[in-house]
Amino acid sequence: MTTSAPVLIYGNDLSALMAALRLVDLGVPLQLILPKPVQLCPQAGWTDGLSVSGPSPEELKNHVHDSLLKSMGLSDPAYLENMCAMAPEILQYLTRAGLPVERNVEGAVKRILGAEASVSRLLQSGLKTTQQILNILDSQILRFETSGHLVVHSGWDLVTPVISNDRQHLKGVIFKNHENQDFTILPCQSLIVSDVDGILISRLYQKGLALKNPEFLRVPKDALDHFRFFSMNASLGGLKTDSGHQTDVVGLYVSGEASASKHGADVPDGNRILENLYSGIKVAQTVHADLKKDHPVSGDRLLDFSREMNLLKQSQQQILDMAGPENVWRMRDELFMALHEGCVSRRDHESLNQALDVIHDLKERWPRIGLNDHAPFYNPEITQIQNLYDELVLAEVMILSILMRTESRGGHRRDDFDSTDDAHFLKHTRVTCHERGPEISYDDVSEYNQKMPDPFQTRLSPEVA
Amino acid sequence: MPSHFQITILRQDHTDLKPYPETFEIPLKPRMTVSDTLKHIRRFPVNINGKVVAPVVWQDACVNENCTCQFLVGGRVSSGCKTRIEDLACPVLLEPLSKFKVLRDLLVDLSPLRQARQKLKAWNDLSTMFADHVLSRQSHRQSEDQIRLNSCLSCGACLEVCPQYNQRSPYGGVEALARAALFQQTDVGRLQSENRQAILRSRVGIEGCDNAQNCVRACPQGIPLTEVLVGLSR
Repeated sequence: MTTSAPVLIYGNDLSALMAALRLVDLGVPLQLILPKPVQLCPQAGWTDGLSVSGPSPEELKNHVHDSLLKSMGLSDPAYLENMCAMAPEILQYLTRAGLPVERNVEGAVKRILGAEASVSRLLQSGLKTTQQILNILDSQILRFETSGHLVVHSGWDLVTPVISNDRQHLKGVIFKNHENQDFTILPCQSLIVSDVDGILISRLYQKGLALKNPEFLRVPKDALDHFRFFSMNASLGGLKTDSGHQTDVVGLYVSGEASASKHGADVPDGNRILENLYSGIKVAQTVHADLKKDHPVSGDRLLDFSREMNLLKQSQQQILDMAGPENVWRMRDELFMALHEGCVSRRDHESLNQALDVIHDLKERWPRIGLNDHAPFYNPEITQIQNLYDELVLAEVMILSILMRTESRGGHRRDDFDSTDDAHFLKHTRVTCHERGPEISYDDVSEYNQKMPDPFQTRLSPEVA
Repeated sequence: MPSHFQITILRQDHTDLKPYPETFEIPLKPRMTVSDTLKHIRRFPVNINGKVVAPVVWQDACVNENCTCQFLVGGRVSSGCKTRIEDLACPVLLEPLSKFKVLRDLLVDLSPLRQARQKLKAWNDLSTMFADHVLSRQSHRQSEDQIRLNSCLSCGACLEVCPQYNQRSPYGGVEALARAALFQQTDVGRLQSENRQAILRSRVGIEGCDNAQNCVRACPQGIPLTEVLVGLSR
């Protein structure tokens, strides 16, 4: 059944904007929901450059090779190959749209050598290349908004997707409006989530979507006092999707930071931005192809929404009634400190268990938070109390996964297990949410990765992880 | 350094409600900024009379030196995350920007900036996403100038200090002009610059500027706004 319902895209980051622009390019009607203006996307603080290999085939092979090497066997090789190959076209698009790039003495784009790179391929636009790209992509969004090619809603937070009873399809999405804290339901059949928060990762996990490699989630070094917690800057773990960014729920796609990186264990300089941009294009192309297929449509759409709405209103009321002695912002400080001491400055069995104890303590104290802000308008405290709950869930899963991966590999290190253990851990971690707690299991890597490519070999096989 | 300081914040519970001052006494730490003060109030939301109040709301999104939190501190436009309490006369007076609709407390509505960019068509018109293109050559200096123009964060400081910018005037403000100027300088944008000439030279655009030069001093990103204005008026 074809539908005229627009695709919904949620997010204000590189991946969401590229997905929106690519879908406009492909002629697909869509609505873009920006939780905040693009200028306020946390990715604007990144200081990474953009890796784009030069024109010769050797340079491209080199780029792919460096990417695979850094991933330490946990990559999706075909995805990375396509990503590196598309980089020059992506650069052309961005520069045509107005992105300034630093130039060399002869006026061509300047390529510098990234850390551990064997060939110069890193481009920069000043110190904050990502912020520059975000501004340019935003100008294109504004262009299409003005011409009517896409609809933009600002200031809505995604609260939850509504999924069918059998957990098979997406039926709609519920948003909360910053201004008046009202909920808005949008029935929809295709939703792309691209979000730099850990919040949505946690919520979708709690709704039944699997996590991949959560031990590779990154805890920020400084205690940032923002709505988001994990500040998924260049996070490697996240929600599990296939190469096209589909989740197990038909119609629900996750791209960008919220999806587990196709780089696996670690990312070379300049590939973070590239992966984000490419993932936006990739998910848009997947959605475009999927829209042409038939989807079974289930009949009880409205009933499900009212059930979800009632649950949401109950949990909202629960927060409004909170009058305990705890302060949500100070509790977040405690969580940050515990994660920093348990997973960043030290990362061993003892420190991780100490962090876990703090998390359990905070979970137990969460109902005793007191809400100081009862205003029905622009109320960050209500949002933060719910967010803290979701952050605690994700933090616990992350620590349990770190504890179980008793080796060091790329972005995941263990001070007490400092070598890489391929025999046991050349695998992807999968975590699913159950009543009794998180269930952690391991999936084999692709055949290509199992053969552990010789670092000097640059020929690639097109297998997918 | 004294152990505490007082700060009076002009609060407003909603756009349609009256603003009111509220004073807090805060422990002073070295290098503490105005934003640090607001973060402290969230954690200890008690005013100087000992009353527990709703924490002060502001646009809390500054990351890694990218500042988006502009306020009036002692009547002057200042960056919240870069202004240190120890450099200020106390008691500190903290107010929201005056030229924008207050949504709540220090949070203001900056959507007029986006609307101004729409009027000035601050973008390049492209055919499709992927097309044949030869990257034009540019000097390092040219790319640097454009990088500076493109580092705008839409914080509103330049508009707040501009004597010509207000709700009654059609002047769109230097922020949108700087954005438009960026695209005028790109190789695609240069070909399309005729589309913007009329509006850029109108009262919405450059004709609205009266050369006060306050904007360039207020910009937290150091964008050479007066150079932009001079360039556009040629």
